[in-house]
Amino acid sequence: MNFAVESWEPGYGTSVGDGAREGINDPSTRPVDPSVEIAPQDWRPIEPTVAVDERSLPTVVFVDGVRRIDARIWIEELAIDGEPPAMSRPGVCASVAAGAVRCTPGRAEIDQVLVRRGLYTASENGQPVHLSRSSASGLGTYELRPVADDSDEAMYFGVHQHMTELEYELSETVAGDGLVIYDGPLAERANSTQQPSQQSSGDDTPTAVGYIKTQHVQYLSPDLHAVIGGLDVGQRTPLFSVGGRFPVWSWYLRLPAPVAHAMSGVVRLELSTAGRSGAELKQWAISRADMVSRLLPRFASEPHKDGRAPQNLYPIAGLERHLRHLLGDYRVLERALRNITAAGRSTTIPSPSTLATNRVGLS
Amino acid sequence: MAEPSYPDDQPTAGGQPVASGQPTAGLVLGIDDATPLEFWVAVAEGHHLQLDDVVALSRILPDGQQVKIYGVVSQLRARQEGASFQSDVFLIDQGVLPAQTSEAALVQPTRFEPEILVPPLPGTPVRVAVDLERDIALSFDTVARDRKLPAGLSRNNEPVFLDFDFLDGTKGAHVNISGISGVATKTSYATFLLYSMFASGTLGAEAANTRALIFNVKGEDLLFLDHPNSELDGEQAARYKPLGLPPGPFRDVGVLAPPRKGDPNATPATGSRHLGVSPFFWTVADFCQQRLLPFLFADAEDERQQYTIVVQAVTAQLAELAATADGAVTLDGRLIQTFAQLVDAIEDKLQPADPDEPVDSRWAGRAVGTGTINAFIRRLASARRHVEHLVRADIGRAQEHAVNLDRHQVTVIDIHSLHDRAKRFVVGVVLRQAFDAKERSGIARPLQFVVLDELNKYAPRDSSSPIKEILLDVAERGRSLGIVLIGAQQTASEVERRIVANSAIRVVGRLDPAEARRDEYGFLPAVARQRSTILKPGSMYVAQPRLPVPLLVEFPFPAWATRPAEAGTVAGSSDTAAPADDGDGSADLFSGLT
Repeated sequence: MNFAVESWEPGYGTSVGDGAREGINDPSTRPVDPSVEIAPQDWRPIEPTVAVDERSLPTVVFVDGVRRIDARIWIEELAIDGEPPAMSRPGVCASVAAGAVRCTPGRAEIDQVLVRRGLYTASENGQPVHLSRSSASGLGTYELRPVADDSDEAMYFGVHQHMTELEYELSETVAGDGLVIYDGPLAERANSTQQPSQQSSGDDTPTAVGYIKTQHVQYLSPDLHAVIGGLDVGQRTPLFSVGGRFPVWSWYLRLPAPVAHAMSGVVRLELSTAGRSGAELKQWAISRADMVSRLLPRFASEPHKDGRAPQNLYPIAGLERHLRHLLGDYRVLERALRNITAAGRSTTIPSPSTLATNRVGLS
Repeated sequence: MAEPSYPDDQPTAGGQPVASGQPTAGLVLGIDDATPLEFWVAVAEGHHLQLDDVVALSRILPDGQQVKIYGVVSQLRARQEGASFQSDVFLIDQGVLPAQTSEAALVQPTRFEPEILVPPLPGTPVRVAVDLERDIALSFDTVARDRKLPAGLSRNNEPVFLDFDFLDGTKGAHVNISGISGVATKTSYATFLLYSMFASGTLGAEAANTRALIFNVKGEDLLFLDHPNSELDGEQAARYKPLGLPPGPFRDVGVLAPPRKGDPNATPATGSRHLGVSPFFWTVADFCQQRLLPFLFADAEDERQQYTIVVQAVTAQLAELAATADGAVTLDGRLIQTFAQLVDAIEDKLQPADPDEPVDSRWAGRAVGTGTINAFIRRLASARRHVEHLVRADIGRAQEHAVNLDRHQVTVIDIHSLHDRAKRFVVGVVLRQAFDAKERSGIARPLQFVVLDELNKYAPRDSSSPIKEILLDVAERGRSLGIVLIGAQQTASEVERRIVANSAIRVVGRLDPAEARRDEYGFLPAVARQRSTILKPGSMYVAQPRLPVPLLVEFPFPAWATRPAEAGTVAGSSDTAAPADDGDGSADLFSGLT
């Protein structure tokens, strides 16, 4: 595989906001039923009534992932019949990581961490890129991750997908009896090839909760949506179900924050309905929604410490910081990639190309 | 963490392999620069390092050569990684924010073996140096066994040595000790060094003839060196063992004290000790013939002072006077037995009864005005009250009371009760006589040690005096003459630079914070300077030429009495001190030391 590293910094080009997470997977066309807990005409803010003993709080595990584009590259198409390659196809080298923070009273520890690197491209000539250990130790390999087409969106989705897979892989090993809070909608996990084991019923397995901190999709009709604006700190809306391929029960919660506008400090939460139905589902969902609503405010961040307060919860912020750190310095990675192209220059006959800045030959 | 195995990883010293089974205590960290002068070590989980720990590590150079780097931990830090705000600690404590606590140690290298000054590489394992490896790290292995002078204990009760070559004049001499009075335990440490010299065998056969002179400047603290310390408990006595010293009092001590003022029998003026104390004074003949007059004038050599001409002239005339057998002198037929008589006689010479009669220019010097003569007389008269009991020939066998430093191994001269002028006189005269004696003998051995506190009083930075001159002589020429000064002062910044600069061994006890910032303590690294302001009694920083970093040492509680209350009974003597009256029950034995 011959490739060149784009000389522009990888950050230029497109922005991958958190909104994309929901936008990609959560079409607003999914059927919503606001009557699963309370009749729509009775909708009002609910004060979670569950008693929580401060001294023996249940274990809460937060699972989150981060991703970063290390370099954009151009992969040369193979020469046909000795002709120089006519064109190059784009690819993205990215690092992804996922981890879990286990919060018990008095101790928050990062429990599990996975770090991977991938080369995301639609080119048929893509090959894994092994980073040499001689220049920098332990950089690893960009494994090949084919994506649908040459568009930025496809490649970014590939990166995102990879990260979600890691989060998923982690959730397999996350043990405990409390709550597992995933940063993002649960539906993303359902898109993966595996089914989460904790989705099976039973009170001794951790409850998986999706945590959505930015609201890009309006699920409720305008009159019910108004109830969100009436939430006091710590109050939640009644549950509503969201159908589709991966049905969930969802609710809104207002975290402790100065109420500047209707949606200040509001997050949306999801519970999977898999394996439960009827009255059992309703009772279980209400108790879990109350429990989650009681527990989460304690993790809410403060504005002077976090630009995304209060929704960016402290454990998640700490985890993301740690994961970003584990991704390594992208300048070191990019340099390693460029070194590969530089090393290959002597063995490969340079071919005319519009982007013939750095070329490489990989065996 | 597996310790990487390097070829020839066994440190050797003197051909002896060293068991380097020490576990890795940490790794050289990579976010701070590692330099050959200073580097940080991240402490491994499950391990700890403390200040003053001695560590070792190895680096393999590209050509395969191994450089061993040794150092001392001079600072430690711990922090929560993952926290960005001070208040995050509460979140971490509540289990809300994940964080990792990490510790790191700042190491100052003491030695590179071989001496290739490269920085250690980040990621290099660091181990605590023990036993022989510690000796290598602190360069003790390069000092011949019989030249190692025990200087105290490290924090984990391992001995710290001085190279005696830097004390006895071979390569250097003199010790300078700084520290706040009361808590710095300066004189206690000085006496500890003396004891260590006499008791450790470092002096070898010379020990019998080596002499020490101690000026007791405060209280009667040093008058009981030959008494065991009754407050020395078993635990403190045991601390002498690793040093190879037997705990006990000084063996051969002579105590000299000035005579009681107004006492015709010249009994020594000591409050708590009476037996074994001799009075000291000079006869009038000594005073005249040995030209001691200038020592009465603190600024006699300051050339701006006109009256110094008179001092010189009078000194010269006094030296000519005829002495009698019992130490008196005669002047113009007058028998002069006391200092008062001498002062009167000098006054008569300089101020004739008949105002019209010209002053004898042999006595007053040429072209000296009346005002100058009066200035001299005024100063002489004011000295009279303070020194008249020290210069006398009015009792029998007065000559026997001269200071003789050869009579005992340790001579303590008590000057604490004297007026400042008399103190300067005694110190100046005794040192001059010791110096002259050494100069006459022409050989450096046996050594004469001199312990003098309050150097700032005798050798102040900003003025000149005969006493300062003699101290400078000792500091600059004493090394070759065999006079070793163990000087101490509260503030080195107030003492003549050349005296401090000539001291090979620098010692610092508790320092005043403002003082610790001064250039005089440049040999202390920044952290050590900071720490010097909180040193507890009994702990000193010792800087010696062999090591680039000063070492913190603790010296064991003195086994000899350092104040009357501590004096235990000497075997075969009925001389006991006043019973211990300080029932303070203080846990800190060092609390009373000076």
